[in-house]
Amino acid sequence: MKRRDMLKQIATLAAVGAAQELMPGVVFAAPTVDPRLQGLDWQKAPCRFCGTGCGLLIGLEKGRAVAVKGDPTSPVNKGLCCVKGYHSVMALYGADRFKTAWVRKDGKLTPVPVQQALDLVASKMKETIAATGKDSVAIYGSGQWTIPDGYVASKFFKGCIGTNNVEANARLCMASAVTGMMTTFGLDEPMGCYEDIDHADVFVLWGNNMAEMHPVLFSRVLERRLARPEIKIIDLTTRWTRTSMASDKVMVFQPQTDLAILNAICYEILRNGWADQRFLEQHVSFKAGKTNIGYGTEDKFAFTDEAKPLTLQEYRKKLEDYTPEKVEALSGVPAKDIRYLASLYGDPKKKLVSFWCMGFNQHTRGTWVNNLVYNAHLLTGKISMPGNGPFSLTGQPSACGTVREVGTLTHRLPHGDVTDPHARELAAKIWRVPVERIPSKPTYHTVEMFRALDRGEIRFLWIQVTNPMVTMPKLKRYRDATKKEGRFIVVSEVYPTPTSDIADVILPSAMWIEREGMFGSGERRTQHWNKLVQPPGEAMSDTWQLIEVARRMGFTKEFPYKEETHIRDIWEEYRQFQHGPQHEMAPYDELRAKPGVLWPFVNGKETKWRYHGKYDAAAKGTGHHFYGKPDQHAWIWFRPYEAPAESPDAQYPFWLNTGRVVEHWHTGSLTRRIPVLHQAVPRSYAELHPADAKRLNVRNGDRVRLTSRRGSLVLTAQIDGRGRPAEGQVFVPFFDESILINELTLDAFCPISRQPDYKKCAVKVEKA
Amino acid sequence: MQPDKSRHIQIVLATLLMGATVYVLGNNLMADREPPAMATTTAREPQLVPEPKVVLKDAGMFEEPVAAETAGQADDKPVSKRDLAQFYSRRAYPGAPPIIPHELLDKRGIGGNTCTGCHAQGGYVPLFKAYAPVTPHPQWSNCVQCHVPAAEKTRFRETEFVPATRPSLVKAALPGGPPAVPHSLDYRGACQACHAGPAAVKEIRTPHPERQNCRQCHVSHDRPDTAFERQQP
Repeated sequence: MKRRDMLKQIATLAAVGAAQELMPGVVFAAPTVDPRLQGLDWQKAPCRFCGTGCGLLIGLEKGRAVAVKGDPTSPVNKGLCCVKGYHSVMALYGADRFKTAWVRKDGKLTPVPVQQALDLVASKMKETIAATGKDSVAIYGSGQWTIPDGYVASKFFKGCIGTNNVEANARLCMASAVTGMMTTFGLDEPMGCYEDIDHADVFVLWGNNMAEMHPVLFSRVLERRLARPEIKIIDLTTRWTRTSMASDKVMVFQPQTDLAILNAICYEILRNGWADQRFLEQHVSFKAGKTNIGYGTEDKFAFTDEAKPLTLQEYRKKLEDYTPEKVEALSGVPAKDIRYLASLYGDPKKKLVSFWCMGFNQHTRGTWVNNLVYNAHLLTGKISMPGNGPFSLTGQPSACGTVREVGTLTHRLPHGDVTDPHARELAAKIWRVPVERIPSKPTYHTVEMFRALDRGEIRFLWIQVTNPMVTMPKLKRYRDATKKEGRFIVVSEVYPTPTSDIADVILPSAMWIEREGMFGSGERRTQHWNKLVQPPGEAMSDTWQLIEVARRMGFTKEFPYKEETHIRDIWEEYRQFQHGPQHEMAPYDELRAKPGVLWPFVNGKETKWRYHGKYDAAAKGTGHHFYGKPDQHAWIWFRPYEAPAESPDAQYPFWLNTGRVVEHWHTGSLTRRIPVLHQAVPRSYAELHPADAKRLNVRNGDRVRLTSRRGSLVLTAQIDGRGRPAEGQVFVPFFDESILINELTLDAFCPISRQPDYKKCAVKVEKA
Repeated sequence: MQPDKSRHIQIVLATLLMGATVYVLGNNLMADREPPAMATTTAREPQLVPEPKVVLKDAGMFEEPVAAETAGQADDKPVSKRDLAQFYSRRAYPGAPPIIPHELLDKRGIGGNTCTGCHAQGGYVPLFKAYAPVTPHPQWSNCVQCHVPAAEKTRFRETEFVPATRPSLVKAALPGGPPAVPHSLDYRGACQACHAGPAAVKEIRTPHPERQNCRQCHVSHDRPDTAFERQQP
């Protein structure tokens, strides 16, 4: 019996005893402590799903996770979750978990012990490097990698093997946000935090169905408006959603014209004298980049931007192509609405937050559109202060923590770019490897990595915690690539997916609370969790799988960690990269004790707003200080409107837009195994506008065929469901592995971020 | 065998008829409903919920027992027979947000115009011949963030999830004493919402709904790790 149970029983006995003394003659039932009275053991963990980073409390009973509640002490969600978070623990218990390794023998996957599979992975890697060179092996990870997973992967591939063939699926979801911040501020990740919501008067949502994709944050917005009805939510969208229904004003624009609308806002701000002149003089430089920059649909596409200095006058002149009237003609948003929106950005008395996510980032001009929203905030000085700021929301739990901070991308190191000799020296010193071993040239970004696999330059690919055989655009080419002769694919997974289907080796992974780890969320919050339950069978964390293989390849000195303490050791080693007031990370013990810590964590204090002396230890003075760029300024870029890579025409007259639903997360390999979520949205569908449906003689529930230049698919039409696309557009959720919408999408990407555009391509729609 | 068979046929016919009614009415309604203008529109303009015309499907999940026994009810409204078994059947584990056992009134809707129309105050809903359960947190309007309907009862893959043990109903420290609250009070602090009123589950309905200050007598046992231990100086 536990000590607390004993205390409880003693207390009960004492109470009964006292009662018997008071009422002699009355017989009381024998006191027992109902085992159910003890309640559950509640332990903290960040949510496994989106980038919000909600704090959860996991209810444990007999060594299993049996319940979830929101952590009331978490400043992120304050006890509230969404339907995925509440049911998240059920994702551990799908009956078809991988409990052992699987190896393809004579074309068929057969179970083998994990240690044997790890031997095979290591020998295959060595063999490939010997035969075709170190740049013929690659790892493709994820924004769901824990921080230790990504750190170990980077050290192993960049520091030990000596190849920059490290990428992560965050390239498909956050890359434009990164390049947007790098080009404007010189440093990555948002200046503000979610607390901005509690101070803002206006929320402008850019292509962002927050009610479904970041519901906990949207509820925080709604909660604020409930208390103060003068608060406004403005929804800029191509598709009518639940977010639109809750907004005060909805502006529906034609795909890609967000570029023009933002320029029109800046034009209006300057024309009306709403710009903060002092702020501009002290903190802002004006630049123009290259134009007609292409779409990357061809192999080995290359692009390097150039920053040409501009004066404010030249910038103003360039904006004259973007008067509200001209932009109305292009975008479909009435000029008066554009003026109204500009007046909200321009009103010095209104605190304004802009939110965006995939609408901006999955965009062939993703970097540009990120730059443009910063322009509106920089012109008015509404930035880096409570309630005032541009805020790029994140899709994955550790896209920030693991991919952007640890730098698990081809051009990055845990601190700085591979092209920077100082960054390589720092990495070599901390990793204790010869500096010459870290290559100075980036290799392949994600799309190009799969193209290189197709061409045969990459021969060995290790995929962890992601499902590219559902998520790659123009999917057929890249699926066929994996099946080519002489390719070896290792997949670390928890469940069978279309990606594990093409694997030569499947390694069973221990996921989330089955191992210790950290995630870094979209507001610079690092969150730690302990191992709370045992993984099934031989399942092993991705961190430990990488360490095991690295050691088998002879890198024992570089990976000396003990299994019991390796997460602490890895964290403390990684933390050395981020020393200094611009990026200081909290010590391990601090992370363990708290529901997350915001970095920079300087002298025991979190930084809620960067680039402002009042809140940020790295900023000089008492006002703004944009220390990321060499000139200590933030850069306003002139970026024009340019057409998307593919637009509807006579043959393919519809826009195809893809995305998510609140119930399912990414490719659904976890959420579809949660009965509540599966039953709510059992399969994918195609949303049509009622007028289009009528024209096509399609009724709700009818089968329709969507065809693009790349593929064709039959699915069910949904008319006036939870979303309604504008006329001439179709929307399809991508979670369903049996309705692979990415067979139809185009692999065009932003030339600066190399992030594909999943929101725009041309299709035809027919009744099936 | 014979009577059984005819009953089956009757059930099948009735189901078909219901299905046909839903289909015809549903499509008529769809045809009537004018789509909101797709260009710029101000949302939150008052939208009338077409109350009596709405036809909702229950997706086979809505099993609200509609009792034939209406004795004692002057207005012939059926007595709610919601019980704990049904209460738990709609939750993945004790404390999980319950599913929505009927089709959504407006799939794109949010807040006041939809769910909270019935579930903020409760009351009798002729459509379902039942009393609407009352939400303990009407201040949150994005209801479908946590509560989702079940379109069907299929499984994508089987699950081995075992939910938390249900809390005991007998929680009084002393016989006759006030039972403790066996669940978290976060988002469920408005006791009357679930424990009083005609939609309350019978096993957990309070015998004294007139007493409003519930936590005067009923304390929370949700956080058991607080057994008193005196710190040694």
